[in-house]
Amino acid sequence: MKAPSHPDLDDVVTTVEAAALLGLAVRSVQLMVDRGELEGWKTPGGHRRISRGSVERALAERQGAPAPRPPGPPGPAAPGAPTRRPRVLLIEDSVHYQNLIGLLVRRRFPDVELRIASDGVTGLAMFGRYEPDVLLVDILLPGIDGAAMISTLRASAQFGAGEFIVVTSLDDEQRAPFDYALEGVAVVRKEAVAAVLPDLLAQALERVAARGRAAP
Amino acid sequence: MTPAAPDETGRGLDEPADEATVIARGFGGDAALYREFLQACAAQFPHDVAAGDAACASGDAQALCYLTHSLKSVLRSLGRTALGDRMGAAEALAAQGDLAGAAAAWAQARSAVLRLVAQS
Repeated sequence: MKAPSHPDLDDVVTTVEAAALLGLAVRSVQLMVDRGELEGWKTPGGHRRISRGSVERALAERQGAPAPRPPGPPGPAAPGAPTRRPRVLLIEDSVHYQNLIGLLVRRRFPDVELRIASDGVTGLAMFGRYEPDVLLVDILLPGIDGAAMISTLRASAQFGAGEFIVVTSLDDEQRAPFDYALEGVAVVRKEAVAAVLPDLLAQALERVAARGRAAP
Repeated sequence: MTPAAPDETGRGLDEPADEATVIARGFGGDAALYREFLQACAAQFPHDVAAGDAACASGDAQALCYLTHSLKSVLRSLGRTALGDRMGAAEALAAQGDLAGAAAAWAQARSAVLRLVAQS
């Protein structure tokens, strides 16, 4: 596995993202990379990075389709047009919770497209490009912290009505400095994420769907 | 019976998780989700241990604080409460700048984490 000299972030996914895209376990994706079935390499820290193109080709093969479907616009679909799948963006630097939330979404929300960013700067860039219906975000992140990100996004006309769910291991006291940004935002402790997040995400997706139905 | 205090190898931290309770309370009764998450954790833990060892070796208390903060939650999620608490102790010491104390707590916890990987 040799790393490209100048990988483009758009063209690269993590093992967890590849697993979410392919609907496979993380370990299965790791083995696919090791077997050369996916184009990948390891960072100096030992983490695998995989070319998005090879994942999309593998996905197309698994689905028996010639190419992946391009993303459609948000809102209600025109009659006869394919409906856009709900999009969720997770911004979380812990590989463990990337894994857990990836597993949860694949198992409980198979129609959801999940993308993952590992730091605040990348996450903010992905948010603008991907326009997720729901943002799941940690508070303590490299780069931009989750509270500052939510505060910024809620102040914007384009994203202010978005659905935000904070996933954090901070307790109430530790979270107090970030309360300025979290009014009205669902907060899930990481230790309870598998038990609590599915209901909160289902509610958020239902609100998104209801807004889509109500849109002219 | 009072659990044994961890020695430098952290053997007092090896209490088995009450998996039935963990699955019921923490994973909504989804045993397959719990086991798949445990498997994924076992694949990642060696990377975490290497990162923690590197932080100790370079005297990077902030990196050790950040790592142990994350692992504290993961281990508690898996029902390894004593081990999660030891990570929390390392986190608190690192946050205070007590690198020697944090490194000692880390040494116990990382040995127990590697044994958990071997059992998984």
